[in-house]
Amino acid sequence: MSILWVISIILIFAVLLSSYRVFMGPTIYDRLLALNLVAVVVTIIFILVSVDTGMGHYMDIAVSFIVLDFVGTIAFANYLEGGDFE
Amino acid sequence: MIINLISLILMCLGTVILFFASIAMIRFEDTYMRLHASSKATSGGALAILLGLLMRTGFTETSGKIILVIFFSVLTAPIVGHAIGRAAFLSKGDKIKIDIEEYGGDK
Repeated sequence: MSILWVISIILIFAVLLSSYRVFMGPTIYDRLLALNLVAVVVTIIFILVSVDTGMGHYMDIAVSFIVLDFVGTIAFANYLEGGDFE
Repeated sequence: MIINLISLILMCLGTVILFFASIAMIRFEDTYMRLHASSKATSGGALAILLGLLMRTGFTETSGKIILVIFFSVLTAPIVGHAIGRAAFLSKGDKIKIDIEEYGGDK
């Protein structure tokens, strides 16, 4: 069991802890912020699994995932600006 | 091997930063406090883990994609933090008490 698997398992617990705020957030901005953190951690988990097991197509998934997360978060933050959401 | 040790230290540091940020998403009580925790972690913690991983892989086609992810992560984390903070500040909820407002609010 290499060190990359240990880091991946710790980061999976980090995803579970911060997805509490995605489901239970008081405002929609907390949900958006927590979803951004979850997306970055999931990208790092994909990269760690790809390096450890040698499956190269996981790295392509990670690169496209972080690009699409940025575009989605910016679009959500643009449309939520000035709203009254709880 | 010294470069293996440096890689291990960097990856453990980044894991600790990301785990503390996810604890802070539960423990902090305001949107701006959570923004403070998450914005550091998504640039700094991800950068530390990926730099440690980059020392371990060497110079292959995998490291090129890791460099691409590092570049994009460092480039986009401040933009995301600024956009979410601006959207939360301009919303009609309860505002924080602030002296100088540069978004041209109603005085």
